[in-house]
Amino acid sequence: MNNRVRWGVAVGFMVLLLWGNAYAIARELAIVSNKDFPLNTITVAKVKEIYLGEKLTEGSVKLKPMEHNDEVLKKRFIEKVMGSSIDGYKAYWIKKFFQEGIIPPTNKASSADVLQAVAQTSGGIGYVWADEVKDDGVKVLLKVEVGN
Amino acid sequence: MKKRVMGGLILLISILLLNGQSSHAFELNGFTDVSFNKSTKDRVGESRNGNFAFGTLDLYLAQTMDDIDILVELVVEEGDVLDLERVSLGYTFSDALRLRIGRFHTPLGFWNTAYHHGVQLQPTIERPEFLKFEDEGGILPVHVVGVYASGKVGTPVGVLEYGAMLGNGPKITNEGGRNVLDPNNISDNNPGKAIAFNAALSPAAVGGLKVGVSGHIAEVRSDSAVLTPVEVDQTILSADVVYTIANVDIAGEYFSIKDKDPSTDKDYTNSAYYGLITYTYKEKWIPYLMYENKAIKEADPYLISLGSLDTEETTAGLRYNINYRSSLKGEYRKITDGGVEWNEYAAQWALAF
Repeated sequence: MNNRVRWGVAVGFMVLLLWGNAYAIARELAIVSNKDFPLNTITVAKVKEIYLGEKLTEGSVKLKPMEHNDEVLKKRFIEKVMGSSIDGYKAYWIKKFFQEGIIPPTNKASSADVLQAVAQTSGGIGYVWADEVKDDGVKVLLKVEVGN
Repeated sequence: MKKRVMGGLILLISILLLNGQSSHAFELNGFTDVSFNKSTKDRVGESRNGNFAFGTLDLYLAQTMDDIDILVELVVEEGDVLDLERVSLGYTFSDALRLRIGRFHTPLGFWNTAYHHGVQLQPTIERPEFLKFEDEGGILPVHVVGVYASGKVGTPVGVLEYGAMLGNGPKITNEGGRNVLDPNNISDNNPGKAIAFNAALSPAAVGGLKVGVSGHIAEVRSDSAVLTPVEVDQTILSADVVYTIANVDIAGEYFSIKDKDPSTDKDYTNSAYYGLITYTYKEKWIPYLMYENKAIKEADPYLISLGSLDTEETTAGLRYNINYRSSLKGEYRKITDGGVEWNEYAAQWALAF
């Protein structure tokens, strides 16, 4: 193997490593909504309000937030977007549900289920890994970097 | 009574079984607790070594069906007393307007709307004495049957929450030989309706702070089961503050209870308040301290009828969260009621399921 080839392999290997590392660091979570959601973007603060049951409507649309059963994704969402611990979030919802009768976000088994339900439900809103969103008939309102 | 308890449980189970055939999923949730109490008042007699007691079995259903919010809370107390504590239908027009009709907690002050029957949620083992439920000897109408409109709006100074309620006024009745308040669940025994309002501001400038005011105006009459008839025009006003800073939570409420006897035209203004401070360490350990005080006018026919006296109580306790659903609490109380002083020691295991 001559030097040029060796250098080529080394550079290629480095590029792969850097790309993999960047991918690992920069994995994003996407907040998606039904197409009837009146806005095209959303802030993290508003996502928090929706997933804490503090915001029930947007314009004339009644919001129906959905939760993901995937433990890794759910943990990233709760810790990085909601700014809470898993137990703190669950305890909050026990209290909120009991005190005010506000229904917690409904659980969906997979990203495909979340995307399908959000697309088919008026006011539907959910979260999935950003790279899982294709042309699923949903709006991407926000992308949040949450690590791998 | 046991038949009523069984009937209530069968009703709930039926709802859950029908659930499988419906497109709407009702999820049964609940709370329960077991406690131990020992009082220095009971130096002799059967209770001198303290008492174990199971508290309430609180079963709770809530669901939104075709935009209608449904809420049912059924409580089994003292083993065989069944109470339909809350049942309401609601509709959310927007964040600024939510309408509910049914039986619910009177929108009066902070504690009464924040903490219900599931003791796992409340910081202490017991509610403040003057905020106890009607059937436990409470002096405030903490439940109501009526209609309640509430909402929340963002303002330049912060988030404003508000509400207005119209419902049956409470009555005084006799249960098991003692007079108690009753929310008048199925009919009103006085011509005037009770009205209530509440408003609370969470100022944007001070994160974690919430300041509220509320009021309740009603005619209160006793029914024929009460030996000495009572009739008062009652005005309750309250102010409350809740503040969370770092791991410290502070809550305080003040109530003014004015009873006017229309037969003598005399007014009696009573006051009650509490202050509570908690510190949360690693989401697990929560020491707390609460002081409460109730000062009454001895000639007030309403409070005479309910047998209420001047009360002062200091509570110091420690809560340990086993997990997000379960906690252990231990507390010491120093109580003075009508000039009589005693101490209480209590422990409780509470659970949400």
